[in-house]
Amino acid sequence: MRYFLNRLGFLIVSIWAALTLNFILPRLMPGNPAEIMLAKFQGRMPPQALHAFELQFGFSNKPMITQYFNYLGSMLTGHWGLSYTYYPTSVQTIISGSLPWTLGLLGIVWVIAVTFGTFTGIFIAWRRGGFLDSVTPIITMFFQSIPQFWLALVLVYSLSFSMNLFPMAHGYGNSVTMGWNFPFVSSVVYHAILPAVVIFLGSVSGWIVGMRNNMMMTLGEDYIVFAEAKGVPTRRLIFNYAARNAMLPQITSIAIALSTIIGGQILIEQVFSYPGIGFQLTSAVSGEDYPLIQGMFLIIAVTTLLINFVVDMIYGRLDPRVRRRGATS
Amino acid sequence: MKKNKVGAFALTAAAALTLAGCSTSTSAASPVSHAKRSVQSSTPLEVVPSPNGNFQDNFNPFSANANYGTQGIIYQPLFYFDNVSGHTFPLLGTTYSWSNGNKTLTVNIRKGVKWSDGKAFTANDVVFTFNMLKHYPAADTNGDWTMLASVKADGLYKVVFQFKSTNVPFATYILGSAIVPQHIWSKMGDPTKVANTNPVGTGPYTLESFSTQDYKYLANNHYWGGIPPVKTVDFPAYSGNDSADMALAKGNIDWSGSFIPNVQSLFVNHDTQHNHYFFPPGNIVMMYTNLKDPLLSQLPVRQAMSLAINRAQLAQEGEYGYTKAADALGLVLPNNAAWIDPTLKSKLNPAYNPAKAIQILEKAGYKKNAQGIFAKNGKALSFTLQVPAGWTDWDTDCQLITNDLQKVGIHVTVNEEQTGAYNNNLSQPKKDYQLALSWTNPGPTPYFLYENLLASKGNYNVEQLNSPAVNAALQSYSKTTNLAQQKQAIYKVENYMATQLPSIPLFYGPIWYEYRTTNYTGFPTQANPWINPAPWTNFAQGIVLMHLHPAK
Repeated sequence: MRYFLNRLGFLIVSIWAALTLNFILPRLMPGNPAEIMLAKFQGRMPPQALHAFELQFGFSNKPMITQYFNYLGSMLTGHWGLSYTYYPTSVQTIISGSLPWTLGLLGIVWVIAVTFGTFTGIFIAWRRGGFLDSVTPIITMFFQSIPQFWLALVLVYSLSFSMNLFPMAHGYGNSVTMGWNFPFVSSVVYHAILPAVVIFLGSVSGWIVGMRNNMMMTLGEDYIVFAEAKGVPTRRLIFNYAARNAMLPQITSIAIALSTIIGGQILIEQVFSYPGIGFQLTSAVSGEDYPLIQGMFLIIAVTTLLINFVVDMIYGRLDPRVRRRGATS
Repeated sequence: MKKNKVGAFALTAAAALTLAGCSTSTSAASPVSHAKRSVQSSTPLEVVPSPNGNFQDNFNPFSANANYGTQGIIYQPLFYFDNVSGHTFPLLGTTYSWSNGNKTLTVNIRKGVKWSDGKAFTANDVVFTFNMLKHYPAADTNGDWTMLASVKADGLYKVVFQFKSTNVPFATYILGSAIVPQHIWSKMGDPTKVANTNPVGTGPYTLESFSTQDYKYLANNHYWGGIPPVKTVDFPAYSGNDSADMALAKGNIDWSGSFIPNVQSLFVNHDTQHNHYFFPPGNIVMMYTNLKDPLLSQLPVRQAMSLAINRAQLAQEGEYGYTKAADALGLVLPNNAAWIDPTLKSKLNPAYNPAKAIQILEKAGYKKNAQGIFAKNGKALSFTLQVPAGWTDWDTDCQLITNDLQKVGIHVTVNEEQTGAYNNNLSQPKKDYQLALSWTNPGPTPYFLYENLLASKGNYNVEQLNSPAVNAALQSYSKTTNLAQQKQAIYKVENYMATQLPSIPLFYGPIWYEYRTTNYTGFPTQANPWINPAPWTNFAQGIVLMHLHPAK
């Protein structure tokens, strides 16, 4: 319980810190969103529109500290305001329309990659020196070191453009209607295959190699040798004795890896014109769209922190020492 | 009082140049009256104006971020004034005329027009729209009420605009503002805060369906201009150039306005019979020279720079050969060809002559210093050149310019700035730059680009020119509807541009436009550029749609 409260307190402080950074950083960027909006049109919009944009966005001249507390209040109450780059669409609408696509695709592939990578790692470490052990890490490492958007382009060009095996773009076909019906769901799955393959190939190697190396270390421990000598069944030896301990560092990196994957996802989404958060996020940043930047980064930060929190909890389950503050030492 | 007559349905040459008051006719445009056609094809037309993220459900004509087609396919203005052809297209208005010393503008409204919900469109809707813009200045993106004093209906089919002061060309903005139905928008509240997801307009289409990935317009068969030849117009979202280009090459897109490197091999060669493109000039990309800078304010320095820059190379290498070197007069050619001062024909093309650039600097008293840079009184010709980071073609141009100027002894350092910082440096009252690459703001006649660029109160007077002669010439243009007088005024400004180089025109900023004639023909072509052909051009796209016909 004490461990839980401790972690919860840490969660709250981190969220506050993320919120504050989120407020400060966009305001340090030079320029203002109305000018950037006009620049986007490069002379296709009459320059006098600047005045109207400034009125629309309703720039606040209140002191920063007042703005800050208003901001904290509106973040907590869920009034995230209207986006500038997509004015007058609300930040919630934009995020709720795109985030599920990103999280859905990313989440599922991520779970598959972690699970597959971990089990493969366990397996090849057990059969160390075998054929799979020498080949798998190299092949997967090869795919991970290719820039993901480039891999995505190569796949789209070869499999979709030239061979017509997969759709070239979008999250679902234009002929299906959104909803829980079979044509829509199957269309979504079909469209998700290529992006999923790219994300999978781009991340699985880390899990395989990480787990393999941890396993190797653990398998060399005395207690494993003792258990094997004692006649513990192989399966039990691998999973309950070795893997459970070897998995601990793996679980820590799950949460850390998540934030880096979101970065790569942005480019992949653009290659596939996937309806996720990627394009909105980049255009929000380049357009100095404070409300949208704040909303999106809040979601990303909170998601990452929550996953960290959950991972901490799981960690505590797997390793009792963490809960009891090093009780064994 | 001068009466401008405009044909009812067809675009006429007279209509084309009413604003200019021109009476010469152009033969380039030979559009067909669209009322005559009734063949409609159910093959959807796939349109990708430019790469775009997820669409947001916004069809508000007063929002700059409304979905493509909101202004033009759904909502219409009284008239559409085209930048590329200079033509005027009567839409909800039929004719207009000036009176009261060109301070009163009377517009005759088209009869028999219905909103897509079946209610009749009248002058009251026009008056309502303008009064709403007055009440909510945030919606007035054309700045109409900076010039308007009042708008009144005279019966159901006539609207009278009263100007605060005489400004004939400003009517382009007023007559070009989208009109919305009073019976709907009077209940909307602040027009800038609504998404208007169920738009009711007078245009050739209504909204059929919307999702963040794709939306469709359905032909409005009660459209006043006749039955639209394309039944469904489909806008899919492509979030990156790569995926849009591939879809285009694959033949999934019929009409596009996106940039493609190597358009010939990536697009045209996939189907040379049906895949076409042409990139008409849209505006002039300038190298702005800050005239408040003690060195750049000297004419010989600007002259030397202009002579030293190899514009053909910029167009060829920086801009992929998709554009041409700009003329020296600040005109967008061939769009503004009718406005060239005959006496300036010899000065039309800016010279590339590095040797002469050096001569001019030496004659002005500059001597090369130890680093090989020209200097006078201890001040070396060494400048920074600002450009937005990530605008890769412009970034290349800046490198080429730097090399060109280095050769004649002018040192330039390129500063790639974040768009926000760049805009701020160029647009704040106290401008923080020496040289900068930027765009210009064109219009249906050269006046608009000049006024924004050169008038001391111009909206994009980045170089900070304050020339009484230029101001007077632009004033005299804006006071008259007489084409001959307007031309005289423009000639004066052309002359000033050519001799005084308030900034340095480099090349024309192209309008990206690709089209595919497998399913539909009738798109504007290079041989007949009768309208701005890009699918993102508000109001023009609706007119183009009405001129398409199903391919046989």
